[in-house]
Amino acid sequence: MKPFEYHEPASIEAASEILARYGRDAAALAGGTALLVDIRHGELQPHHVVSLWKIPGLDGFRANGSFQIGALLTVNELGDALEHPSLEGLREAARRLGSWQIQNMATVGGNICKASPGADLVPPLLCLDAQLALQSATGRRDAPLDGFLTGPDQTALMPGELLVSIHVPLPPPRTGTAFMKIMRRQALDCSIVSVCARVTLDNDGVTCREARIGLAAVAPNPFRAKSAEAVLTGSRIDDRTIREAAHMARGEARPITDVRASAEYRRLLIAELVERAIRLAANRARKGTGG
Amino acid sequence: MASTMTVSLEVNGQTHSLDIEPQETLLHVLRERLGLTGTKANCEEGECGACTVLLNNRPVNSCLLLAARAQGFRIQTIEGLTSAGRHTALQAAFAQEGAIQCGYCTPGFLLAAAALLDVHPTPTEDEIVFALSGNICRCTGYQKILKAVTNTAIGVVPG
Repeated sequence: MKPFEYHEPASIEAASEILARYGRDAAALAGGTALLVDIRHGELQPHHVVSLWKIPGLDGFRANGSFQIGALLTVNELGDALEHPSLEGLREAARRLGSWQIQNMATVGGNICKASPGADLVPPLLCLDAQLALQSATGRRDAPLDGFLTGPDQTALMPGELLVSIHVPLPPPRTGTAFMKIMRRQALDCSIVSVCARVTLDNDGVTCREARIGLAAVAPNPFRAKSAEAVLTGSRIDDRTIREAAHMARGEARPITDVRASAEYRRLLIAELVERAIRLAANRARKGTGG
Repeated sequence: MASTMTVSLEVNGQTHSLDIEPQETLLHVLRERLGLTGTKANCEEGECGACTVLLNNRPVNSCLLLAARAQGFRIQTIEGLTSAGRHTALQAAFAQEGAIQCGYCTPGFLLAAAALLDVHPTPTEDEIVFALSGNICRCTGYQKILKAVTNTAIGVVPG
């Protein structure tokens, strides 16, 4: 690996100043599972690597009405921490990310800020209306995750800004979520397609009050299929509605052909997985459990 | 020009103070500076598991971890596995089941399996499959590895 200088700032302000000073010549180090590969392959050649691990308060998980996820919480810790049944889709995504080794290293913040087209945690976090707390030496702001990713490896982070934590509001009652993904093998591969669905049911238990559909690996960034959500919202969750929503989701995706699958195969998978994920999420919403 | 830095690493119960360059991975330091060559270098992108070591009893890919980041953790390599009774049983079970052929992946599999049995002494098959899913073997076809871990868990004594 090419040599670089290693910084271990002890505060967000100090980290922010280093990142702002060196700009594209600096990289923030969280879990390192993506960054070190990028450096080794020469895709990134930072002369300054800024470890975030000496900064207090960036890890941890707090459930206090809503949920506060530290940016440096590892994916494995996230999977262990998620107990609320309505967050089952996020738990499933955490449990199927990479491998056990990767889950012990990779962080929630890193999975978001790497802005990979296939980022596993992003579809469920989009479905849960996650908000991001961003901080730099000059100030702090909140931003919705929806809209934060602006292209492959690109985010709306300002120079010197860091993702500090992810806020997940408490889902309404009768909410179910489900995550599904297809890979060439069952671990350690980028998704061909991944899908998360969230269904929140009305008091009657059959009408959809609110829906979210998140897709990954089928566009430059994970995104919400809002036309599919619109089909579900206010409708009875029946076979016809589910198929219509899946059809809309498929139409919103912009998959490419790559080494893993053709664009056409991805479109077929989207329709099928969205259907299945909606059904499972709706079942979970009805049961009021994660199961 | 990157400067050198001094790090303190606790490997297999022993503390080492080392002058390293910041870009050195834990894998590199273990093999090249400490001579612990049981930890294998292979894909160097976190996909094969040959470089697996335990940090505070959890498996990680040492190829993706800067040595500087491993400070403050208890690092265990394959060389540190042999002394504990349970792990000796695991190694014997691998040998007994033929869960080893060229042997290159074996240290990684043993450490992942040992970490699993620490957390789940009697794991389900799904738990074993998940725990080993970050390790690739090109020789055995995995079934014998699965059997070896299962046998260790249920206390089948090789003989």
